[in-house]
Amino acid sequence: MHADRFFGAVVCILSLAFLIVGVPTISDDWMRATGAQYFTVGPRLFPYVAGVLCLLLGLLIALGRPKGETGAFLTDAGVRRRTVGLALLALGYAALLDVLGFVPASSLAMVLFMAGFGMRRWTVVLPVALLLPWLTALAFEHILQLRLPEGIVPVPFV
Amino acid sequence: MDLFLATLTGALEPLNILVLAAGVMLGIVIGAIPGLTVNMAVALAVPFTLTMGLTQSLFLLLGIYGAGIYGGSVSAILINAPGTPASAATSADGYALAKQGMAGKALKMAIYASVYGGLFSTLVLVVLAPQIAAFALRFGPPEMAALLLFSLTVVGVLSGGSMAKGLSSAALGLGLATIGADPMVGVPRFTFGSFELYDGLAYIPLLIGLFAVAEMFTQAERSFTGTATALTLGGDVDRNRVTRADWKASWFAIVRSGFLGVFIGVLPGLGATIATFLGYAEAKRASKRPERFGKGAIEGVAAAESANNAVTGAAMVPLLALSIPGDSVTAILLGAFLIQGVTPGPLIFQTNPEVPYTVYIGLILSNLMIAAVAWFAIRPMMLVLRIPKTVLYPIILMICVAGSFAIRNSVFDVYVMIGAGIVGYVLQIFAVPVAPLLIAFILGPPFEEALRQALVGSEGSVVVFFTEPIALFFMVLTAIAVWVTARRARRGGMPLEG
Repeated sequence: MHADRFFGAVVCILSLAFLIVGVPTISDDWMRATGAQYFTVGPRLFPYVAGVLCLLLGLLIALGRPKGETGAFLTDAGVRRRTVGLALLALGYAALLDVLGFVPASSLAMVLFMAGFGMRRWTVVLPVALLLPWLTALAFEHILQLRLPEGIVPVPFV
Repeated sequence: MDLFLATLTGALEPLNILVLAAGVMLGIVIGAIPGLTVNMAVALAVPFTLTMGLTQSLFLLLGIYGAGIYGGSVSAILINAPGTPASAATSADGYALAKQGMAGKALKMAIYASVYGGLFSTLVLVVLAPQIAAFALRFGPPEMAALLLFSLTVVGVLSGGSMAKGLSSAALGLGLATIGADPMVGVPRFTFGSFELYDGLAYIPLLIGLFAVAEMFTQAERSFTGTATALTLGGDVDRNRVTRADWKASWFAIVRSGFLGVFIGVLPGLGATIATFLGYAEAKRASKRPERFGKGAIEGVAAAESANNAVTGAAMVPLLALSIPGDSVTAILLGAFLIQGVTPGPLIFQTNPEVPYTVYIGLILSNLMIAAVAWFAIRPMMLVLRIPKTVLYPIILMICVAGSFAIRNSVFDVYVMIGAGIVGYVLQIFAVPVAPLLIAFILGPPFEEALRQALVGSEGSVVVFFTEPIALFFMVLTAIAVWVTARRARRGGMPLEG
């Protein structure tokens, strides 16, 4: 299946689900409120417009004449699996933020990400992973006065 | 005239210039960090102005404002991570140039175009503030809805590649923008009982995810397949020079984007982001070789940067003349004025003329200061390209995580950023442009509000969009944009469907 047809079909399916299942979940209780008669259009209008637009454009893409190949779509499964692994690692990083705190979670994530990208020189990985998150936290908290996630691991000066 | 000269003499005192320089440097640094916005930078600086006089406080805030918008282009060009939403269009060609070893050229053109845009809009502010403010007031809900529809259409159809894919990306952005409380009656939509979703998705994590995180995934995939292209610092000085040919290609785009930026800037609620995308799209539409856009067209960088900085002075027009803040930064500036005991409005030109004079001088000096600071910072900034990608991308991710969290102190926004990164990566695989998604997401809420207000006013009749002259003008422009693009597509210029 050509990449464009596949993309168009996915857009159509998601749009239909959005229109049939999603939009009707928006409550229409507001219509019973005082003054509601002045509102000629309600909160469902815009989601319907966006959903119908997506559906029509998805159909246009899926049924139109595809031009050329979308090369990246054909990348081998092993490579794609490694990229998906990185995405999962990023989600794991986010999950660890509240538990460990910004500095430890970032240090751990940086080690794993650098290793994932292929960096094997530990004389580079360790100083960068240990120092940069700490310096970033210092800059955010003390110079910019912005809070970063605090976890169970105490970090000096942060 | 005497008062102007007295204000100018006072403004040029060393301490004031020092404060301005500090504001410019802070603005460039904060603007360049993905996740930290100009709004945030200006808001952070307001408490410091409590102990300052009027001139110093205005210089500090105006310096941050202009420099913050410029600063966003630095990270957009160097690492494809726009520091601010207004720099997202700059990354398309700026990053492409950086990948070809011409980051220096892109950064220099960004400075020239930004400074031109800033100075041009200041000139407009000086000459035409009251008249333009009066015109902007003629924009009611129908006019605003028609203008926003035109903007969305133009961004969708001219985003590059297939028109259907560009528009579907914009439609997806509109859909995402409906998450959260309804803007008119407050009904929650697609919140699934989540407190975080009640306010909707924040656009900064979405921006960072769609551009920076998606780029990280793409680069990771390329390094896994061995097709990664090395970013070169550009030891070749000649290739990083802005040549006469570059000027020839860019000057008209800079001038036109300056006008567009001023026009958008004076209209409340639009801001630099839409100006940038319109300026970029218009430069692409008018180009004899539109296929070069997105692949390293220097005029793409010039158009985007001129437009977003032209908003800075123009946004001050409704603020000074009518006391109406056009965007969140000018709303914060209004607060800073009030702290100083000054109330902007039509009478300010009679009662406190030194205030508009200080604003004019501050804007002019801040633009000159941006040029000076940015020029000397180009080489150090380009050093970021020397960092190996295997180290650079994890660092970028960490800064993006910190920036996304800092917006609302919420890990939820970090998840949104990563989710947007995955969506951006998938869209890249299918050659779907992500810029229309972002711009539609930003413009969706004001568009919905204007559309529904217009329909409420007309008792549900859409005729209102065709009877008001300004609204009709933009509706006709929208139809022409679609028609011209479809015609060009049929003639083989660009695909319509796939």
